[in-house]
Amino acid sequence: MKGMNRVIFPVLLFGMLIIAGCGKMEKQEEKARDMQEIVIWTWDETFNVKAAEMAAAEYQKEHGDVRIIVETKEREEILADTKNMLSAKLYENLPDIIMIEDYDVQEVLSLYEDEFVDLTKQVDYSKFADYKNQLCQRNGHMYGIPFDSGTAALFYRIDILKQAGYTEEDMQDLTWDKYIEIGKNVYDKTGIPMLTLDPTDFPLVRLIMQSCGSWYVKGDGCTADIVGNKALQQSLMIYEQLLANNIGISVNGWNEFISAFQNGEVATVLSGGWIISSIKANGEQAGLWRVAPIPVVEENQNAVAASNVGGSAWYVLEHSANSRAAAEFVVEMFGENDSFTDSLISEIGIVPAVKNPTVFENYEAQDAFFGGQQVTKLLTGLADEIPTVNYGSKTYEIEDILEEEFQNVLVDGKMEQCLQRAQMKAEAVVRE
Amino acid sequence: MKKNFKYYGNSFLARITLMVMLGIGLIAVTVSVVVLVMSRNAFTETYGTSQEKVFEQIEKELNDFHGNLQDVISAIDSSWAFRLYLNGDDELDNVMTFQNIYQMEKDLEQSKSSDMERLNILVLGTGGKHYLSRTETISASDEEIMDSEAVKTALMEPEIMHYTFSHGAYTATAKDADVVIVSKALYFQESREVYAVVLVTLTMDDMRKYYDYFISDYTSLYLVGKDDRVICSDNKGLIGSVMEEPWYGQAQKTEQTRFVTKNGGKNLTIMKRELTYLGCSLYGVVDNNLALENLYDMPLLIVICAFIGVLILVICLIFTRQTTKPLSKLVFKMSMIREGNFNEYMPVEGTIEVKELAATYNYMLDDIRNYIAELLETQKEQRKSEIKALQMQINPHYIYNTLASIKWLVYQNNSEKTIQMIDAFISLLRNTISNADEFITISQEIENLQNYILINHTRYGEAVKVEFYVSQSCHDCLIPKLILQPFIENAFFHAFPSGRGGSIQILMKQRGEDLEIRIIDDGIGMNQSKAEQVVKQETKKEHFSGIGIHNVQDRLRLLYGGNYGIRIESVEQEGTTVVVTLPVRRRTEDKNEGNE
Repeated sequence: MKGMNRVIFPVLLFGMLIIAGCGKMEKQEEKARDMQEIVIWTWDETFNVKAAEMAAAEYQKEHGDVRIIVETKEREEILADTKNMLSAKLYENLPDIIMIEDYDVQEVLSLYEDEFVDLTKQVDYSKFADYKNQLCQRNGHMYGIPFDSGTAALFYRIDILKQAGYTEEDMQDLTWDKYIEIGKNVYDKTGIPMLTLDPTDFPLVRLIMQSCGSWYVKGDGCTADIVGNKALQQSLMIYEQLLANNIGISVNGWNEFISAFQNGEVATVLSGGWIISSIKANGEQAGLWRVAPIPVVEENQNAVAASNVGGSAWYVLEHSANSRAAAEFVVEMFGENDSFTDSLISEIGIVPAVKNPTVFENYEAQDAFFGGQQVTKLLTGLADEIPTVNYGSKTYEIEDILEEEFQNVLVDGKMEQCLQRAQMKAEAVVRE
Repeated sequence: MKKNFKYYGNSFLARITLMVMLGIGLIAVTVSVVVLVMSRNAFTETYGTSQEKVFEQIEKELNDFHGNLQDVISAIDSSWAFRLYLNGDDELDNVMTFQNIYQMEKDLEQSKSSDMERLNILVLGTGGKHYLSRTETISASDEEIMDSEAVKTALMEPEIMHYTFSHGAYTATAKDADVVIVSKALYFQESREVYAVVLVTLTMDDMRKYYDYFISDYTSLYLVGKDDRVICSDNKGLIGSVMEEPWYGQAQKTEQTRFVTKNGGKNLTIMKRELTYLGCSLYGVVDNNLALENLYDMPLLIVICAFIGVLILVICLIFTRQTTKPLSKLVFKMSMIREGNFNEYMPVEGTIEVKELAATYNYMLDDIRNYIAELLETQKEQRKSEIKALQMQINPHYIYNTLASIKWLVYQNNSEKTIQMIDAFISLLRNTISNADEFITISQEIENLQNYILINHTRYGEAVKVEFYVSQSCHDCLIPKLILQPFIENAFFHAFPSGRGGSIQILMKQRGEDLEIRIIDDGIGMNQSKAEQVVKQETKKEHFSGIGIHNVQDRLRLLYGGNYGIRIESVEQEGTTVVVTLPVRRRTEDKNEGNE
């Protein structure tokens, strides 16, 4: 029997190896058949989506084996879906490239640093603005490619303001007091409010705060800064005044914010440079718009006439189906291609987040939509003056709290107590 | 042993191999087929049942989903903020509007269940107010929305929620997507005046999460509206089109919630549920063949079968070989018997049957050997007594003639010669007849021969001289009695006819282990062929005894074996030489020989 065992076991083993081998070979074949299909999730049809589609079209010209699919999604949806699927490791449903807004980046990176492609060695980051680079990095590694800067400006309808007797000169070097005064007059004379205010989104608060060099959190990013935050207090008071005097008209949601200025229902828009593409979407208003630096808070000595709203960057997911190809794509189109950025300036009016914008041909181009103003030059010039703040990772969570407390301010007028409650709640949120 | 193909083809091993292969093949095929058929039926049944459970789960999920949507819509309907916003806006100042909008957001937030976080809800007031729950823009104009099928059906039946398929919805993200729009009109209870329409847009991806776990390569799901149009399915090609599949018609007719049907060569399990709340029907389709294909990896099954088959065959061969090895050995040994070798015994080993066979064979072999030995012994004895009888037969003519010669000598009064003659005759007779020993020493034989020669000389004259040359060592050697007499007799009467003179020389010497005796005459001789005939032929002449040349050879062979015997060389007119070769035996050995 011993002799027989010596015969049987090798035979058994051999047979099993053959069976196991067969299984493996099949799997390898399947992988080879995969097409290079890159999926991008982004938002804003007139801006980010358009930019991605332009990049895709250009890239596919030279890379026939790559197919790029741009999917339009809601900003919050991208963030929520990405976080959900990364936590469940459901990679097959994830895209290859996502866009993340600067306010959210640090939160995502702190949770899922390993899930993003490290682009440190693939991109020359020295050309991008330092504050943008700071947002894309974690633990010394760079994960995103900065896209637009989100430099804020005051966009206004010269035709409406003229009806109230104001000229372009009047709109330069504004303070908020002056802005409110103009707003009152414009509303009285034309019945048109100056801007829209959404009770569920406070971009104006962020704009004013950053122009004064402060944020919902202190410089360390994880200490709530509400009660002692002068700029915040001032911005909320400005809010109150805008509302009370019908200068800021209440709207609900993003749709009404956009449609308000597109339909000529407001005289100004205070937002990041990326809003230009939405403004330009209504061709009938060509030539009626002008750009100026934002108003400053006179009472605050830190205040400058420059700020930032939004702004975002591209991120490549490490474990997606075609992660490598996707990284090559973003690096080539958004990381190194200056001529493509140039065409983005003319097509969507992007304010590139670079240190030296003069390299672009369209840097000094005059925009007829804005009455021949050098919009890019103006905005990139402003970008240098934006005070740098640490957004921390809980911007929108704190803002939700503030929105709720601000409702109370409107009811009882007790700003101090409201801010104290907000401080308490915010401290609970930022604690890590 | 012929080692060709036919031999092996016919061998025990080959037959067993063939039978085992046939058997394994037959078993593998029958068992596989039976198991496959049985498990196919069982699988279709159990898989259908388990899929039905999953299917029921989807039904439940969809109903839950419907319930949740209903909660959201009724929350909108009952929210004062929404009602204010949609109907009485003009009465509110800006700050109140700001508060109101915030309240709307809160009301909606509270009504949403956790899995509906990013629901796309569009509320369209008849007064032209919009509410959109998401951070995006409405891409369709109010007229387009009011004209859409979803809104129309909602306005027609404002009491219930409607599920409509649409290619492209109202907002930027769903502009080009296939979506399901849930529409419901909001109206005042008493006047039944519609004041707003709620439109919930669900992309196919949103829907998919409610049935995703049911979907595989061989299962698909269809949500079909009242107009037989597919509202939602994983089968993208059919979404939005009217259901025309044969199984669908069958499902409409039957009451069963689950049935198996053939549809275009496919074996399908159809599951059906009426979702009364949604006003839709839900169908689950399982392609059993594909599911089975997935279940049974046929190539693997075949490989395993073949592998096990080969394994069993190898084991079988090893066992069979071990069992039949003694049999082959037996066959080989038996074939040696045919060649006369009776010493090949079988080792007794292996299985009981083979052991028994080997033991019996050995026993038989023993018997045969005994019988043969007995037979040989008997034959030897017989031959001995034959010889004895022959040597007793002193030819009467010889006696008459010798006595006649003696009478002639008496007449001549040659008393001395007469006495000599009579002494020789007496001695010859005594040694021949009375001496019962078969073997005698050479000295005795020479004495006999000399007596015989004396009688012959007396009778026929002394023309033929006889000379003995015997080496000293040979005198006590034993030789069979009367072995040389026939040759001398033959020489006397045939080599020297009609009184021819000559000589006969008898030479005896030891050569190695053998004793060589030569009887040489210089008579007339004969040719070689005749000489050889002489040895074999019996001649009925005046022999001294019954022993002639012809049986000397037989005697020698019988006594000493094939290596010994006689040889005759003869040349005509020159003479004849007879060579007798015997082993050297002496008296003591003779005793041993006798005992054997």
